[in-house]
Amino acid sequence: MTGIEAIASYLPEGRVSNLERLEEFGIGEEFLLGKIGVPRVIRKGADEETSDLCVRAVEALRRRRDPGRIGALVVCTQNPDGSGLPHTSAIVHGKLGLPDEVAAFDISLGCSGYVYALSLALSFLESNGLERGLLFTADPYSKIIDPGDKNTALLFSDAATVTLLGPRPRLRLRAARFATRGSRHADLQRRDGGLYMNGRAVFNFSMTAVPPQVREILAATGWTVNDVDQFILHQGSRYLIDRLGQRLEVPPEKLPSNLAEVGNTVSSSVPLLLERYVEDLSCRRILLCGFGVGLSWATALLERVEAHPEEARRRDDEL
Amino acid sequence: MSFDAEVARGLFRAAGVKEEVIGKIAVGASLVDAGIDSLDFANVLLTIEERYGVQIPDEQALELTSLGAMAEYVHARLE
Repeated sequence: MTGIEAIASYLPEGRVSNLERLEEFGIGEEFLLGKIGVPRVIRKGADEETSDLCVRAVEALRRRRDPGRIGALVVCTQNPDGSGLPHTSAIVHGKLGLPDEVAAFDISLGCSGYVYALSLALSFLESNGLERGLLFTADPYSKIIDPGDKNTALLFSDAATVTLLGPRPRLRLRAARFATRGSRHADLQRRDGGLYMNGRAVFNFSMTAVPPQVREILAATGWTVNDVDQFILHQGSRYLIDRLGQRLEVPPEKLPSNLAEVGNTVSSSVPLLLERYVEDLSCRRILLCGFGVGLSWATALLERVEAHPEEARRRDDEL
Repeated sequence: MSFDAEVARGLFRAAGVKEEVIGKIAVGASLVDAGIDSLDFANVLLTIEERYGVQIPDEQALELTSLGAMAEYVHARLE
């Protein structure tokens, strides 16, 4: 069985304070912190490319463990290096000095990207007899954000994550669901070189599309909200997470957020949060849900492979 | 189904708007002045759309600047 062995991440050093821009955008501190939930955004350096963010994430992974012999490298991004040709995964492959035998390809998805890419990468590894893979998310929106656009400049941050997939997983993918509403693609798109977002349309989509998918996958798996330890939702905004939690009747302690620390990091938001729980043996069942650009949404259920600490202790005692 | 200012206040409540803000909303007065921000407003409109099965296009939404205007707009579509 192939699953998630480890997750590591990289946050660039640049910070822009949103608190210092309240007057410029005509908003109050309460709205910024209570509704948007992002006191500062993270910005990559001007000389940092998307592939560099991926490489830095691998360096973080290597400080923790040897990733072993990699068979495939996947990068989920919609803001690739240069103009997107060649694919960023090939550039990362080159920078990491990986051998020719390693497969490398990009996946073009936004906020739903991690769930899609996780399922795709796991299937790719298993169907081709490959043991280990690296799945990256790196979508530095600072490349396309107009710094004067209130709808996006206060929200999106740059970050990268890498997920090590392999045969000795801590978490396995139990089930996944995917959906697309292409008729509404213009609600969140790159337009005239910059990022355009119809905030109301994206909010309505998130509030009406996400809950049915979450309920359906839970019901099909025979799980309830109570059976899930953490609901890791894409970090769209503080308000969006709160309202989705309300609709799904998920208690706040099961709805982790990193908006205050890192903002909305697009496809990295889900794995950045998941990184917190990969080694937490008491966290047995996790729901992941990403939604946004496309419009696209995807939900996955993860199950811990390792024994619960108490169960492991009991087994040790019996031996 | 009826839709008047009092029902609208209930929808604001259902949309998670704080009581202190709802208490400041007067029928003909500006919702923004009462403390309704853009996110609350979007959620209230969504709540209305779902409860009453109406669609409120963006250009119409911009005109719903008071509780009275909101009630009038929805009431007209329910007739």
